[in-house]
Amino acid sequence: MNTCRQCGATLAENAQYCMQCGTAASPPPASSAQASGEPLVVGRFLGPAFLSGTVMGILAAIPVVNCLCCAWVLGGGGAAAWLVGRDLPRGTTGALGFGDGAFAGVLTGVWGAIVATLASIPFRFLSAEALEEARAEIEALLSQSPEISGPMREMMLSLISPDLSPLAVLLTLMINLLTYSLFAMIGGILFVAIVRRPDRTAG
Amino acid sequence: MESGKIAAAPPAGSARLLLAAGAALWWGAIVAAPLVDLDWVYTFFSAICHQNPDRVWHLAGAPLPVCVRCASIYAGFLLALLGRIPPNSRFLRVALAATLLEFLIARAGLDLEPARAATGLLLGLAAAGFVGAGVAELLRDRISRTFARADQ
Repeated sequence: MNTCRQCGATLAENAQYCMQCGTAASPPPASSAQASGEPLVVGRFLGPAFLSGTVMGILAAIPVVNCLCCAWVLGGGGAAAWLVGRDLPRGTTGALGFGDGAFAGVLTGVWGAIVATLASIPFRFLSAEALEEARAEIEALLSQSPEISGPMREMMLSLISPDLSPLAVLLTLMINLLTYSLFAMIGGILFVAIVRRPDRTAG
Repeated sequence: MESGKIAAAPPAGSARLLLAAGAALWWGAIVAAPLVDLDWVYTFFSAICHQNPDRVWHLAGAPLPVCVRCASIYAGFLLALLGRIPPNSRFLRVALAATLLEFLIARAGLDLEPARAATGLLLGLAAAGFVGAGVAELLRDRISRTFARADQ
């Protein structure tokens, strides 16, 4: 009688997934933990995350180039997953698991957020004139919204001010950390999903 | 077997709930922003979307904080999680190819909002199952094991 490796529930014969918790009936064949029973060591992810995060952060900070929504961030996570997989010995682990792609993406996103925040500082100075115009427009809009006042108003104006304040840098960094790590994680997972060969034994 | 089916663990209980709650909150913030003037939401999403006023939907006369494509992807993602659509690599590849094709056609001059919305929705629907599996594995392989080692 088969039981779920996650929750211990009894599984029907030939069941693909546990009906209680949704875990696959048999371990995913290319999962990170499958080959050796242990996930890949963290050190394998650091180099790829550093390289991908640096490129991604710079591209995401350049005005005009960064117009493709989160494409650079998704691509950065995917590139990190590719670099990690490329270094794996053939025939052993063979392919990355989704968890590996996610982990590579998260690390890339965190580093990329730091790089993007720092790289955006010189671009901010270079586009000071445009920022001044945008700030004037926002101030005019805010003057029609008296409910937005105090710290909220100051925060919004500081984000588009050519005068760089520590608060603006900190806020940008926090937003970038959250969004970049999330989207780079998704990029890493989707890269693994696209390149991984379908399992012929499943289903 | 169904062609293209991947033996990925579907998002196990807590991971799926976590993702669905996050996706609902994400989508809720996008819809609420124009309705109740949540300016910080616009600031937040400016980090990951161009917010071009010509390429966004409007709600109650105000623009959504993300473009049509992003809004459609997020909607598809949430729907797939709620509908428990399983991961399928062929579906993902087709959705990604459709999105890229639409992008290229739009650059060539035929830029249609319904096409952006449809391909975005498809991509969100196709991606959610894999993201769920990835988050479940990440939690199992990295977070749970780290805490387990700390307890020893």
